[in-house]
Amino acid sequence: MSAKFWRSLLVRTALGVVGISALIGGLVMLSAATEARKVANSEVARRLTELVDTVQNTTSIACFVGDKQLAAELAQGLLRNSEVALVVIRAEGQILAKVGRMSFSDDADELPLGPTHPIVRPVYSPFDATRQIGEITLIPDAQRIGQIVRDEGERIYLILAIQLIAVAAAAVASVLYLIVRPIQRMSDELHRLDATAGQLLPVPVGHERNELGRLAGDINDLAGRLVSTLEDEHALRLQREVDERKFRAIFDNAESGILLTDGSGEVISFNPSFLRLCGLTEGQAPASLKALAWQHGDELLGLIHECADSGRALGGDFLLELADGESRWLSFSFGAVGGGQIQGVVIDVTARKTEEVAARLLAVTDSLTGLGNRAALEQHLGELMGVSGAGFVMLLLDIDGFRRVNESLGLVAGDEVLRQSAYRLRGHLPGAWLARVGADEFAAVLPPGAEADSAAFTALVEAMALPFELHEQPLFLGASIGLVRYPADGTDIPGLLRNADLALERVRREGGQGFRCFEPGMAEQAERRRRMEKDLRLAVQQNELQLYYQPIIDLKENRLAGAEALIRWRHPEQGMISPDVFIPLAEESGMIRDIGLWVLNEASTQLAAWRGAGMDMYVSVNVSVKQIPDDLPAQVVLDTTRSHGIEPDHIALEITEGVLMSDVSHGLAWLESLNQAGFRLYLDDFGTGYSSLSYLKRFPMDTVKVDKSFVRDMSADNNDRALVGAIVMMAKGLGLSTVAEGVETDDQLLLLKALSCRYAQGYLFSKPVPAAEFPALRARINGELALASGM
Amino acid sequence: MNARTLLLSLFLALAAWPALAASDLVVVVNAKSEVGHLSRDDVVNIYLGRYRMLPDGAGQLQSSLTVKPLDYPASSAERAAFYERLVNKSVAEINAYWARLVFSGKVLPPDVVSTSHDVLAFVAANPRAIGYLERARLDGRVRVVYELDAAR
Repeated sequence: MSAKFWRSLLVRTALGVVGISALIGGLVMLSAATEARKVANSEVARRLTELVDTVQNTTSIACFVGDKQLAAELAQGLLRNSEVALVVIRAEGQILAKVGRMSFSDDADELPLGPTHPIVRPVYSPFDATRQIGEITLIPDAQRIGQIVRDEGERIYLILAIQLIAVAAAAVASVLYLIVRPIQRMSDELHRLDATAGQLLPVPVGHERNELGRLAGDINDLAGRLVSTLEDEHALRLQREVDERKFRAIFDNAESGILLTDGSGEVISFNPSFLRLCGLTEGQAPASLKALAWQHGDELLGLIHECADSGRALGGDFLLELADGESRWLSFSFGAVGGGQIQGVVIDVTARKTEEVAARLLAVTDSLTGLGNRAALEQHLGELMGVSGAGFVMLLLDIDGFRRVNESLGLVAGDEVLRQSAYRLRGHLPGAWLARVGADEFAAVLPPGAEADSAAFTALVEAMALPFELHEQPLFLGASIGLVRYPADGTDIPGLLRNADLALERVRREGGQGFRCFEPGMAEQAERRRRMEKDLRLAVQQNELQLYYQPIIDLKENRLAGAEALIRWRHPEQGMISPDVFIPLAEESGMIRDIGLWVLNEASTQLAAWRGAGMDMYVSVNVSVKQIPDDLPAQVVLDTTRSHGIEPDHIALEITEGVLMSDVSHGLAWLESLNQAGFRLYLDDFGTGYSSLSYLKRFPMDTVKVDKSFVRDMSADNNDRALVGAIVMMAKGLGLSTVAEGVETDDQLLLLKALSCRYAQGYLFSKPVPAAEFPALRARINGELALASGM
Repeated sequence: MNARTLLLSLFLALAAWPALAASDLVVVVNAKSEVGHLSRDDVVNIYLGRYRMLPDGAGQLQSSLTVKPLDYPASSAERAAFYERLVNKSVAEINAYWARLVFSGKVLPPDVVSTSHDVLAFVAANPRAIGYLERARLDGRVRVVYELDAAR
């Protein structure tokens, strides 16, 4: 009720009514006034006409007689009427009388001009109504008429004004009593009303059935609905508050940091964990993620922006520099929650990151030498290859005989060798990037642009040949080195490594202790070897392997004592292939195991057949160093021979010096178990290797086979003869027999006999022959020997 | 006038009326007068005071021909019949007519004589006089200038 009074309904209604009434009244008045003027004019005209009519007879008489006096009197009488201004009476063309209030000319026949129309009436003879004898003219008084009209207008105005006021007053009173007052009362009631207490707005008395009554009803209905809605809302709010508290507790107590941000990284809300993770205290809440010292803040904001744009859930790890100088890895998971807001969940992944870094470093580091490992090498090569136009040299270095160190001296010794090797590498290849890429294999990548320097590699090879100090005991090893050039020798990592390996392999096969650059031919050779390896595998299955037997002659008893079983491979396309070619291949590929077993089995079978046929002899079988001890266990040898009914002392196993050197303990145990089983043990190719007499003493050998190189070059008065003699003597002293290999001439035979060498073997007696030919050969040799001894 | 007289007069009037109504009235002048024949308008103008002059042979009013009309008393049958026939007016109307004119004094009504004898005598004696009477009462001293037919 504080509204300005002119805004009140009452005043507005009054103003409206008065305004409209005034407008309509004004229009009505205007038309009424015009009408009144017309009416007044015609009234005047009518009255004057009537006036003239009353004096018609007299006028007629005056005109008839031409009596001016009578006419003048008549005119004067007419002029007494206030509405008449001038009277003119004419008869027979002459003016009988002209009387008026205004000034005019007596003589002239003219009439004064005015706003009113003159009234002209013809005058007829009193005795002949058809005969006009004159006329009478009346000029109305314009002023007088105007006055009458004005009076009439004023009267209408007055009436209308009174009506207007009455209507407005009635309207105002109606509005006041019918509308304004009840509304005011309802308003006052509404102010006092407490709907929530169930109070209702009373209907104004007398308005029960009209609009106000309905309004009150509507208000009560509305209040009822509002109250019930309010109650629902209240219940809902209570529920929401409970939920809110629940979620708030989760939010506040969550271990993970939770935050709400907008697309530009402005922080809207966050939980205590988020502050703690950011290394902040209560009062240091950040307004924006930009305010924190991220290592890659741009990426973080970019992620948020992308999340806001795409609505996809995104995440990432970011390093945050803390105030105390520490840094912390925080992992963010962002998800859009609508309204342009992004929800982020943050966890501390510093520990995981640290572990990852360590693990990554570990993954590319050789823990023993501190150099890179194979993965690191590939990574390094990848990086170098990524740099366009940068050629470089890589070498692979393999320690010769390293496996023997591990096997004979133990892993600790092996590790020490590797450490020292790494040290030597570092010293001789300054600036090179080094890695240990295999058990005893190192890789060195020279800096891009550095040329391969043969002198440096030679020096390296020599340095590696120097003894390794192990428990104050020097150990002599060596190194094989394969070299490749990028990009000439390979444009990808596997190719480069393979070719380096091929070059290394070539050195190793040539005996180690050297270096070679990769040559395209190596790949072909390797391919050939690979193909042969495949064929060899087939050969074992398809019986392409054969045993040939070469007689061993007892020079003392002049008879054939036994035979050495020699393996042959009859390749379906390439013909005979030398064991010198395929045995190393079998050794490298592990096929030596199956081949070795086949040889033992085949030889036993054959020997059993021959002995069954009354041939008193033994067979010696070659055992590769690779077969000892696991590929040919002593028990397997025993079982195989027994299964054929062969006594162990009819089988000789020929081993090389390498067996004794490679693994002292294993080799010794193998040898001893076979010796105890009763097998004969031959030391093959004696004199070519270390030929240490201490070996002969330590190992339970039966026989020494003197290498054919000594026998071949032996003559009556040279060192070789003396050497063979010394071997024979020494063996005899140790209780061992000797077999001379490669006996080709009678002179050699005579010398050997002179040196008291018990057994001989060679082309002088026979080349190796297939098993089928052997019985005949044996008979011939025995015959010849008997004949010779008989002489 | 007492009631008897009135009744008598009324009787006489009524008695005379049919006789008069049945007979013609004629306007006469002195036999020796220059006036020839008169029109009806001339008679009206003269008797109702418009002109007291007569037109000449060319129709122009001549002051030399000023005439003096004679009339009968207001209650006479001749008078009633005369105005009745001339302008179709009653005597009362004629009286009222004259009443309006006499105020200005410009024109006067015709002189009144009592009988047709008096008319004959006055006209015979006065060359300018003009009178009217029943045709039956004509004599040689006068001359008819206008006739008012009874049948009219």
